[in-house]
This record gives sequence, structure tokens and C-alpha cells, in this order.
Amino acid sequence: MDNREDFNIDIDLRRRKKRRVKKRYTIKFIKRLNIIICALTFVVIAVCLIILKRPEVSEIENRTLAKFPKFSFSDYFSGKFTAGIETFYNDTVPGRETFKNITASIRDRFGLQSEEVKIHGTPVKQDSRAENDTPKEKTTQPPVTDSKVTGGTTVQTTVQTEPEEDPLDDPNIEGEISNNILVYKNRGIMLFGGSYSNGQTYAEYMNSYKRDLGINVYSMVCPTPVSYYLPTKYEDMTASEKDNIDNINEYLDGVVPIDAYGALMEHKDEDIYQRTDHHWSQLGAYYAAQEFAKQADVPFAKLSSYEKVEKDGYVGTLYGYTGDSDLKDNPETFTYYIPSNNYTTTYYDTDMTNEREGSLLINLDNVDPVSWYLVFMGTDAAVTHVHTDVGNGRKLAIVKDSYGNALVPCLTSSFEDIYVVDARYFEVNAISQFTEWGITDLLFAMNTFSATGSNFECIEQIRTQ
Amino acid sequence: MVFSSLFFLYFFLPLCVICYAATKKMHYRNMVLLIFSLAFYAWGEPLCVFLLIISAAVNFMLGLVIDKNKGKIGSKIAVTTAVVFDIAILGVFKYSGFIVENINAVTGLDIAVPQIRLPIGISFFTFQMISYIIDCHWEKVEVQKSYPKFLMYVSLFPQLVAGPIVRYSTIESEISSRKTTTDDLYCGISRLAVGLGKKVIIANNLSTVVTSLFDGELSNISVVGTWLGAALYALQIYFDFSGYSDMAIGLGRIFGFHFDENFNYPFICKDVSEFWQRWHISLSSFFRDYLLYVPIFGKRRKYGGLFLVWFCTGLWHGASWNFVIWGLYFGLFIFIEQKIGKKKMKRIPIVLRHIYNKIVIIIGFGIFYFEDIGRLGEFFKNLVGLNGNGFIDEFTKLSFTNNIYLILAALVCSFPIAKHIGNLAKKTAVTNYALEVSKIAINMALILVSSIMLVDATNNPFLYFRF
Repeated sequence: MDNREDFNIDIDLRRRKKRRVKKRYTIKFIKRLNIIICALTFVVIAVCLIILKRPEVSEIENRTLAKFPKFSFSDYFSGKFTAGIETFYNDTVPGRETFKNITASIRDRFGLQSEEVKIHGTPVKQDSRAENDTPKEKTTQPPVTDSKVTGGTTVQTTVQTEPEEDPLDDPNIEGEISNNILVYKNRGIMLFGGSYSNGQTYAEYMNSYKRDLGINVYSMVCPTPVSYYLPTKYEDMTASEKDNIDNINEYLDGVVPIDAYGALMEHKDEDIYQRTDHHWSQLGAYYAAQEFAKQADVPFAKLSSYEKVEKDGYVGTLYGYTGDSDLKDNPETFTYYIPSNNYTTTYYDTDMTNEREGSLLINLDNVDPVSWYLVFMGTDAAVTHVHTDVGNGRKLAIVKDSYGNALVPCLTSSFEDIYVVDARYFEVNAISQFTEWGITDLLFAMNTFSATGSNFECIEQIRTQ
Repeated sequence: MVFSSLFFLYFFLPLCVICYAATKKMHYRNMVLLIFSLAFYAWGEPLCVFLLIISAAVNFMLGLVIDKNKGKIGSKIAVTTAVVFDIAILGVFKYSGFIVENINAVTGLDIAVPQIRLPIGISFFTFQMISYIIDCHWEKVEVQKSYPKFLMYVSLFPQLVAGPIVRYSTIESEISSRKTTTDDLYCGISRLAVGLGKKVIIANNLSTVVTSLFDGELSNISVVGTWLGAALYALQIYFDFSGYSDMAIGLGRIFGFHFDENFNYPFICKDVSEFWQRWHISLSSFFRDYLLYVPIFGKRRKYGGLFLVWFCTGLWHGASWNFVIWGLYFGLFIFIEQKIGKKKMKRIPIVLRHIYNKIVIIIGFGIFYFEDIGRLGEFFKNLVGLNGNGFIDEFTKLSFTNNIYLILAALVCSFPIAKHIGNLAKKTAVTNYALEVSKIAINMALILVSSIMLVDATNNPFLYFRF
């Protein structure tokens, strides 16, 4: 009996021991499997990153990606060369657009989406009238190319680019876009800081043109979506564009203000802005141009006379700057209007050399959707001359930022000649050039961010250069 | 090069591991590690790599002198020379600009401020060499007779640029003889994945929220926004730095080294003293073991020593007054806690103790954030609503709701909840299998999600790189 009991215990112990050994081996097997799977993942990704073709441009960000750096001893010892290799390696990952989209989707799940509102960037400093007497300072947040103050995605997507040297980059972006973007109901809204002192200076600069040229001078300060689409609840986050425009108008002396703000307000329920881009739509520009034509007392074509072109699948620049998948997942229709009257378009480089014929509205067939706003003249870094069949002897010069681009096709039935210069790029003295052209009317068309912030000094620069 | 970059993870690391695995003899393996470590450092510091090599050579030779003069005056001279040399290197490269700026400010002189770029990781490798040389003098460790081995210890890339401060004594035997077991590889890869996830998924994204609150106009931020920003920054820096430490420890394990832990769930602390026993342990223990040994402090001047340690801890983090204030700020609370005494502290209700230490920690990291003293002043005003911006604003509400799950995930992961679940799961065979299988999925998810997010993060260095 005793022997049998001993035997049973022995068997039991052996079984337990076997089970323990088996368990240990199984756990060890799973651990090994873990190692193998992880190691294989590393190896497969490493090989893919080496053998797969690397992209050269980013459609989302509308820029050329980093290139493999050229070797020089000075670059090597300064660390620039090795940093350049790393940037190239990280920036040109095969399938990067897909991965960026996945990242955007992951980030969307970091919080509650019920309110349909998301904020990207830092709060803007809002200028108040009380500060009107303070020395001028740039209070509208710097452009997204400034990596220090930019939040989140924007930092990561702009640090290695050099937009000035890159023809693929949209120069419109520089100096105009705020880095504080609120996404509300699939619409990107740039929050506005404003500056009354900058606005005053901007007005005084325009007055100087009036004094120097003695012609009709108009100031159209173009509002942005923040004036029309920001929910009341979030109004505290932004300064008032209307107050800043009114402030500029107060200081005008002989310059005629164009009430684009009011003109657009009447049509706020129409598609006057692109939801996913930092520009207005041509429809918005049309209503502003209508107000301008009224003030300038020139004829103005009906919208029905234009040929309407619609292109679906448009996701503008704001997706690249926010990485917000609500924008990407809800593309919009990009609409532009081709004037029906006869006109010819001539382009010059910004130093008035290299004259060539071209189209006022460029062909978008080979243009990435994010850049479709370039349909108007193709670039900012050029001077455009449109000669029309109007024959009223009125010659208009438009000094503008990229908001002004969409105005040009709206005015081909209003002026005999239209000269378009971008205040940021023009390299010739504006006064002498305008005199040479025999300008009768001068329109400053800048958005509120430009006029009170990053570009307000450009118009003085081109007047005095 | 940072660990959380695609170039490191998918080029440098696989190449290094393959070369390491391809060699069998310890001598060659050490050579592989040395070459890759120097290449790793030279990648970011093509010139300062020579500073590292020379500095290591000086300490190595002084180590030999100590060895030959055990118990003699020569040993004391050698250890003093080495420590002075190391501190001088740190002083020149890290603090010269700060010192001259302050001399100019105090005296009104106009001495040109030297523009010396801070070599990456200098604070870490200098402290490692100091610990080695003092330990040699104290005969706690055997003096290393091989320069390549010593250089490998100093330059070992997993811990070279952002710690932890690995003591020579910790890996002394492993330098000459080590083996990577299945468990080492398993733990190493898992720690690497966890560290990567902490940095890329949590810290980088918390950083976006923190900078949105703190990098703009502070005068716009409400009371709640300021507290939220500081609290999230505390979490961000924890995930950033402990993530790096996890990756360092994991990489060490892959090569057979066993580094000490650098973080031990600091936010579960019951008081500020305990927080510092759990936060950046390698630095706290360095000061405890080496600085308090200085005879004029130590036990004789207990509180003088305490404030010296915290002054140095602050200054170590950066050549800026806010770091000094930050160090002394924590020193002050530790001093108060010591004065109250452990017994009386324990009598305080635990809830109150947690509230107290979290407030101290949150404000502390606010101080840490603002290097500009003017902005630091604004931060303090904001904390108590002296900026007139009200209690809460829409921007803060949006920042919070837009990231609420991220914040909750950060909170959950900063407490040892997963660790406890793991321990519970190990108790039965079935749950243990489930745990191990789920770890495969977790590792894969962390590696893949982090890598995908890295495509969108071109430049996001670890915060502790600047120290």
C-alpha cells in the first residue's frame, strides 16, 4: 500500500515537473517568436527603406523633399553633411504620404471629436486699440516656415525646406498663413492676431503712393474665413479683422477704401472661401472686385458671362499645415471662372526682364490638387500684364499678395490694361515703373494677415528700392 | 543621431547588430561596439568626437596612475587632477558663456561672450568618467588597463548622449565578458519598443499640446491652461527621458549589458524626496555618492550639502538661471520634508501628501520649461490668475478635449498599472501564455505605429540631448 502511494506521488511529481518544463519551453518559444518577429520587422523595414524608390516631392506639403547632400569638408566638420543625410533618409521615406495620412488619422483619435473643432498651433496675441500707440511690432504670428513657434505637424514638415529656392513650392504660403489653425466642420480657419500699429503704418505707406503718383489709389484689405466662419464661442481666440481693416481705413489720406469685408459678408453662405486652403475662392474675389469696380466707376462683367470650371478632389494647403484628416477626408470642389472677353497676357520676371506671352489662367492638368490656386497666373514671382479689349483708357496696377491673384480675371472687363506685381517679389522701383506704364488706378489688394503683419512693409520696400 | 529616428532604427542599428552578431570573440565584439559608438558620436559631433577620445585618454591614464599609487598621495593627486580636468571641460564647453554673461551683468564689464557650442552628451560622459576615477581611487573598481575597453565604456552608444549615467562598476565585468541570452534579447527588444513608443507616440504628441499652450503669448493663457501646460510638460519630459532611458537599457541588453534603471514610476511618489528617488536615479545617486562625500559638507553640514547638491542638479540641467531655481526649488521642499521628519510626514493623510507633491512637481516643471526669466515670471502670474485672463478659456478647453485620450493614456502609463497586470497574469499558466502572446502584438504595434509617426516627425530630438 505504502509502496503504491509512494509510486503515485512519484508519478505526480514527475508529471508536474514535466508540465513545468513544458511550460517553460513554451514560454521560451513565445519569447523567441517575439524576438524573431520584431527582428524581422526591423530587417524588412530596413531593406525596404534601402531598395524602394524614394519620392522626390510631397504633394500634401507642396514641396520638394530633401535631397542627398553634397559632400564638402566644411559641411562635414560643421555636422551639416551628416545631418543632411539623416534628413534625406527620414524625409524621403517611400510611401511617406500614406504614412503621414495614417499619422493624421491616429492623431485624430487622441481626443474627442464631438464638437467638430480642433485647434492646431498656439494662441495668437491679439492686438487691441489700447496698444495703438506702441511702437510697431509684428504681432500676427510668424509664417509656418518659422519652426520655433509652430506647433505639431508644421514643425515637422517645414524644417528642412528652403522655399525660396524651390520652384515647386508655392511662394503664396510664405508670410501669409497663420500657424494657428482651428478646424471647424471640415474648414480650416486661421486665427488672426492683427496689429493696429502695423495697420496704421501700412495705411501711411499707401498714402505715400497717392502723394507720389497723384492717381486713383484704392486699398482693399481682404478678410479671411475667421471673419465669417468662426463659431461665436471661439471669438475670443482671434482679433477682429473688421476692426483692423477699419483702423487702416481711418489712416488713409486720399486713398479710397474698398469694403471687401462688407461685400463678402453679403455672400457668406456661398463658397467665397476654400475650406481646405488658406486662400479665398474666385467667387469671393469676384464679389470684392465688384465692390472695387463700383468705387472705381468702371464696367464689371456679370458672373454668368464667365465660363465656370469645376475640379473635384481639391484639398488645399491647410491639410499640409495641420495634418488634420478631417480636411483630407473631405475634399472640396475647386471652382474658377474664365472671362469671356478678349485679352492677352504677358509675363515678366520680377526685375522686368524676360518678357513672354502666356495664359492668364494656366492649365491645371499637370498641377497637384494642393496647388490649384496657382491657376491664376501660375506664380507670385512674376509680373503680369493683361491687355484687354475694354478700351476705356483705364490702366490698373495691382499691388498684391496671393489673395490678389484671384482678382485679376474678375477685372478683365473693367480696365484696358492690368499690371500685377507682388509686393513681396517685385524688384523694380514701383513709382517709376507705374509712371512708365501710365497707370491711372492703383489697387492694393492684401489680406489682413499681410496688411497688419508679415508683409505690410513690402509695399514701402518696392516704393523706395 | 537620435534613437527615435528612422535612420538610427533602420540603418545604423541593424548594421551594428549584424556586425556584432557576425563576430564571436569578445575582443572583436568590443571593437565593433567601439567603432559604431565613435561613428554614432562623430555623426552628430564630427569634431567633438576628438574631445571625447582625448578626455577619455586623460582619465584612462590618470586611472593607471591611481592604480600604481594605491593608498599613496599620488592617487589623491591623480584623482584630484582628473576631477578638476573633467569639471574644467564641462565648465568650458557648457558654462563659459553663462559665466561670462553673469560676470558682465554683475560687474558691468563687456567681456566677449564665448560662443562655444555644447557638445552632445558632454554632461553624461564627463560624469561617467568622474565616477570611474573616484571609484578607482576608492578601490571600488579595478582600474581598466585597456584603453580601447575604457573608451568603449565611455563612448558606448546606447548610453552616450543622454544617459543614464552608467557607473563603471555596473558594467565592469561585462566589458570583458558578457553573453546575450534569449532573455536579454527578449527584454532588450521589448524595452526598445516601449521606449520608442513612449517617446514617439506619447512625448512627441504631448509636446505639441505643451508648445501650443506655452510657446505662444503667455498672456493669453488662463489659470487652468497654465496648470494644464505645466502638468503635461511634466508628463512629456517623463515620457521623453524615461523613453530614452528605456531604449538605452534595451539596447544595452541586446549587446549583453545590464544598466541600472533610471526611472521608477516617479509620479506614484508620496513626497518630493521620494520623487527624486524615482526620477533620473542615476543622476541623483551620482550626487549622493560623490558630491556629499566632499568633507566640508557630508554629514557635518547636512543642509549645506543638500542645497549644494540641488544647486548642482539644477545647473547640470542647463546653463541658465531657471534650472538653478528649479534645482533649489526642489531642494527647498526636500529640506522642509527633512525638517518635518519622516514620522510626521507619514501622519499627514495620504491624499494631502499626493496633492502636495503633485502641485510641487507641476510648478517645478513649469520652472524647468521657461528659460527666459521674464516668461517664467508671467508663468507664475498665470498660475494664480494675476494676468486677468480668467479661470479657463476656450483654447485650453479645446487643447484638452482634442487630446483627452492621449492625456489619459499618458497618465495610465506613468503609473505601474501595466506592470501589476503583468505580474497578475504571470500567476496562472493560461494568462501567462496570453501575456506573452500579447507582448508580441504590443511590441509590433509600438514599433510599427512609432515608425509610421516618425515619418511625420523629421526633427524631434530628445529633450535631454541638450544637457
